Amino acid sequence: MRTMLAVALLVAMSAAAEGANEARDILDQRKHLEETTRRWEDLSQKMTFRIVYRAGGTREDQIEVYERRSDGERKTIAFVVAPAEVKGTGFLAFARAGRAPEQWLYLPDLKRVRQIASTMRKESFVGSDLTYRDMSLLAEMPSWSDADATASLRGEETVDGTASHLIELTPKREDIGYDRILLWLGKEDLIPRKLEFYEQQAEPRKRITQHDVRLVGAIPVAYRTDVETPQTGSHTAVEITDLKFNQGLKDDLFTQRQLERGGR
Amino acid sequence: MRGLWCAGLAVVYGATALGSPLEVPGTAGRIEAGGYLDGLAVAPTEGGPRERPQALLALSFAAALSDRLRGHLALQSAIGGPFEGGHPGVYDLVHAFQNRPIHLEASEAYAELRFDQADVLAGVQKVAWGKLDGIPPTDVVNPRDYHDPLVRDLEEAKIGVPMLQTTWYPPDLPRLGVSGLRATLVYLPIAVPSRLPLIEERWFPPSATPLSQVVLPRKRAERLIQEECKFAVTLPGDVVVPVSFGTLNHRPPKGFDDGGVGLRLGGSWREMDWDLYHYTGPETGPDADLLATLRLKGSCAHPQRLALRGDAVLEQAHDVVHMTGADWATTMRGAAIRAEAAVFQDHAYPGLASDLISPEAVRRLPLRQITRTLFERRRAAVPLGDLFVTLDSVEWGVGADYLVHGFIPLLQMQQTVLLDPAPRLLISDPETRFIASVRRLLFQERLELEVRGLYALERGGWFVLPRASYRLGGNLRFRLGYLALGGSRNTLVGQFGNNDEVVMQARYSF
Repeated sequence: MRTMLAVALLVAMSAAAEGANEARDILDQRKHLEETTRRWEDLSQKMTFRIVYRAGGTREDQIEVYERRSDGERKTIAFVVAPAEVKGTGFLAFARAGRAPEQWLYLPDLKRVRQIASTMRKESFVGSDLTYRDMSLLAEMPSWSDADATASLRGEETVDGTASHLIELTPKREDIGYDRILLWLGKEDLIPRKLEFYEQQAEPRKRITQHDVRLVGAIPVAYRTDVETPQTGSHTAVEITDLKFNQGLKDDLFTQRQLERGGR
Repeated sequence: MRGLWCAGLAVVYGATALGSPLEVPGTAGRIEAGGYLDGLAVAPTEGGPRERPQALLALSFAAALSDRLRGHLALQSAIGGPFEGGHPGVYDLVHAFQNRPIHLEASEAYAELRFDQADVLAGVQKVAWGKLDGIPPTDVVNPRDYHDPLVRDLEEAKIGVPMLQTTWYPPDLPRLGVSGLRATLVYLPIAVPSRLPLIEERWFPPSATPLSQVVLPRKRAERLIQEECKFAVTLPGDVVVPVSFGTLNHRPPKGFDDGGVGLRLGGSWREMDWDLYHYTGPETGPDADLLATLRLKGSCAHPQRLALRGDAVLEQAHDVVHMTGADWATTMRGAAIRAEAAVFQDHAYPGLASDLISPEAVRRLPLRQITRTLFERRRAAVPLGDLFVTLDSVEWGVGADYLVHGFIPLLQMQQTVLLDPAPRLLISDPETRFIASVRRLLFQERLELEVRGLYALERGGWFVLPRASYRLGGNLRFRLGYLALGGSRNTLVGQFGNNDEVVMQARYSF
């Protein structure tokens, strides 16, 4: 009996190890693509957040986002274009893997740039179903290694007609803030089709699905993202327009000086 | 003026319909318009003077004329509010007391020239110095409008000042870990005072109101008359001098050296933001002199017909203040921390008008000299002393906010320490104030619940303002709150103890 148990355990462990290796291989392939053919230095885009309230009614927020990556650092500056009440609000972040990001917020009402704490990352981004942290995670996940999260392959599933690998990620870093993440990566293009972020509950805290994948040069981009918060029943649709890569955005765009100007 | 409001509303409609920047034909220029229409009503619950509902229209235009040249114009107009009587008009930049129940104001109007490493801004501008919440000690460049000092947003209450502002952005110093460097020089050619409430208004400070009558003891009055008239008189009782009270504008001096200069040097070092400041220029806080004049009717020939009355006038005053300060902000263990300190020379601090005409103060007055002048000229100035006392001081504060379970509490302590001996003032020495607020966003930021308040430790003055804001769509916001004030009447806040009120506000942004 003991021998049987030991064999079963060994089989299970080797299967798990194999699943982990497979998952890591897939993620490394994706990482390799991101660092080679899909590599970009900077981007600019307009994002429209259509927030659908649980109790009915919607709101639309438009944001201009600029991002630049260099020397392992990701700099992002975003300006709210609409609605009018919060127009001119700006957000600046410098993120480096393994370190809490430096973040500043410019509120036109205060006419001041304010440094904001990392705990604020848990706050909703413009009232949407995404938090500042979620936005940051989505951007940095492709570069994760085993030091950030362990990965295991859970099988294959079809998402919106696209055959996808189902990979479970178990974050190791506390600042990631989720206990586990399920990731559906398209088998052909290795583009995330769906993500589920879990905290302690069995139900996901966030469910993100990506649609309308188009190539911009060699870089595939999901032009529409739906974000659900199952526990509250709210939903946000994010649409991208005017996306441009590698325009040579200068470093001085990512400064408090520009933040105060409100993108003008 | 009503026609102007109609035109303004037409612009609102146009700006709303436009929805996107307007291209200037034949050029690369474009103009963006925006603004808000604000309705404010207060319902007093403890008495105090009334405040009419106010409608305020704010329009702003930003024109990009080229890559380098920009223009900014912000206009503001309002009907109603705290004013009593008065006439419609355009706010000027030189008078402290302006009674404009319908008014127009160019709150900002400036041109901006952008270079790669420098900006030059010229025109009427507002600048925001300091990092603390509320009124940061170093934020002294712009005066404020005090017609509604607690409910109105502090930055909205700032008055634009003509200035030339140049900022140079030197390159980062990576070896020293210094980045985001900036050096700003501001030159203010003219002095612009704070706008102070008028006597009939809800937010006129009771501490600035002198007594309505002064009593001169009978024996002392008899002696003074005897000295002047050279014969003895017998009065039926104490001499009661009725005192009228009013306000008076007094234009600031216009000399070349009556303006101001300011310097700001800032940057980031090791994830900490910092600034150093200096300002020498016109006092931008409230500043006024209490002037008193006695008038005499009758003469020694008919001592029974002698009649005395007093006129007290709160006159706009002008002083020069020097401020040297620094601020600092960082994040630590999930909290955002800010600190600020400023050393002032000749900063004006308010005293109590009643102290200047108290029996002790009257006893100290040179009554013989006043009496002689009265009999000679029928009127005599009474040297009451300073209502606003200019003193050297240190103002500093530290504050932190932290997100916990969706609540964003903020706690800040601010202290003013006077470096000179001072008479009794509306602030104590030291004056320690705790400012706290808690904010919670609900229903995907549609509903915001907020409580903010202030407590002055030594004297016990306080206010608390809980309020709920509800956003309808992206343009309309309703706000309902209750302002409660209390504590000693001899404090900055406690003197308004009768002004508790329900505050209702609606804002349409476009």
